[in-house]
Amino acid sequence: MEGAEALETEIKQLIIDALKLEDIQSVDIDSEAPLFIEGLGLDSIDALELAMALQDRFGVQIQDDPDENREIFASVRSLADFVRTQGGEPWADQD
Amino acid sequence: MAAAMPRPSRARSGKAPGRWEEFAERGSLGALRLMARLYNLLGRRLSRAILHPIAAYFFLHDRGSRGLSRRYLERVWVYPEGRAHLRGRPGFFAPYWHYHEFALQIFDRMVLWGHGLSELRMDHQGSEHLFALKRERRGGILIGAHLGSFDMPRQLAGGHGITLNVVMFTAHAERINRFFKSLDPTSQMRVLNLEPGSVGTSFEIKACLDRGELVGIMGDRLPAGGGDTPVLIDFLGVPMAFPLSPFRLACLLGVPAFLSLCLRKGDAHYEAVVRPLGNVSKVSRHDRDKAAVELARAWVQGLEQACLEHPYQWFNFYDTWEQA
Repeated sequence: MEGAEALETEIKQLIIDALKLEDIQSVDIDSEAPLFIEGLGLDSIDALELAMALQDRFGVQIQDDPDENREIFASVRSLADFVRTQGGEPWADQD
Repeated sequence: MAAAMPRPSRARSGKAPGRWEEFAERGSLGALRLMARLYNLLGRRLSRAILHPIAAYFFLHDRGSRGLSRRYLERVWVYPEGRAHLRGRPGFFAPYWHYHEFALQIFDRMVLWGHGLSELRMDHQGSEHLFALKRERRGGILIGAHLGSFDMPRQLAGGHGITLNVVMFTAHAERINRFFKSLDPTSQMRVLNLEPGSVGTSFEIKACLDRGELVGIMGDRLPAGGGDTPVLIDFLGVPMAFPLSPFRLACLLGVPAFLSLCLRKGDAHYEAVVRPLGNVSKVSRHDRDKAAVELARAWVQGLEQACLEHPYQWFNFYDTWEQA
């Protein structure tokens, strides 16, 4: 389970970096809490920006299917699941 | 001066539309149908006369918008250019002409959808930018406003084989769309349903832009129920809350953004204006919000200019304007 947790932590850090949430640290983000709208108050463009960051980092492609996206972007955990099922390489291109 | 509100605070456009908005967006489809029939029966000149009693009706019954209209016209009066385009110093009856203009443009919209461009003159300004995009198979964002006939660009795009996706709140616009669709079932314009608070909208917009299509968004109204990052920008001397999303999106994706308006120049005569908003290139994360605000400011400046030249064609009376 260590790998799963590490992936979640990395995604949290990616969220913070990509969206410039300067006053938040990765430990502040609950892996299961909703990210958008009610949770961190992120919006649709934030989601898109995050998707582009995930693509750069893990090489995963996110399509424009609204229902699927709602599930993927529900929480950090669902994002991590998505990256794993897409065969994303968490430590592939860290620089 | 513009100041970005701290994110993620969300402004709301709380108030329901005024009654003349309902006329266009919600009810009175019967009246529109009657108008269409009169037009076919009596021709333009005679059927146009019905717009006076309609304007008078809303002038008498719609006090809320009447007040907003007068205050707006008074702000236009402050500017010498605006003054030159008003019928006179805005007094008690000034809003009448505002209602009449609105009714007239709905009327022409009906004519357009029923008869195409054969009965209206449509001039272009800046369309070459869109043709260039089409040649390069690049997407672009057209940011419109409730100024002039905001429905006309759809027809325009269709006539030149350009796919236009219009982002709108279909809860407001569905009925009138259905009506116009019933007049012209071949219309190929696509509507992207903007669900406030939905994660998906931006992904759909990106997919359209990636295909090299145009996306039209209104830049002068905050989505009902929040879900946007508003920015305060001076408009006719008063700070007004504008949505930042269309501009953020352009900066994030590095696609060109345009001010897009369709203004009435005379009877049955319109001009579609497309003006580039400076050079949008992919902006680094750090500078993106600033760049988006700059873009929004350029857009508002263009909008204000067009408002001063066509003061009675401003049809936005939500309380976004009244926040300050």
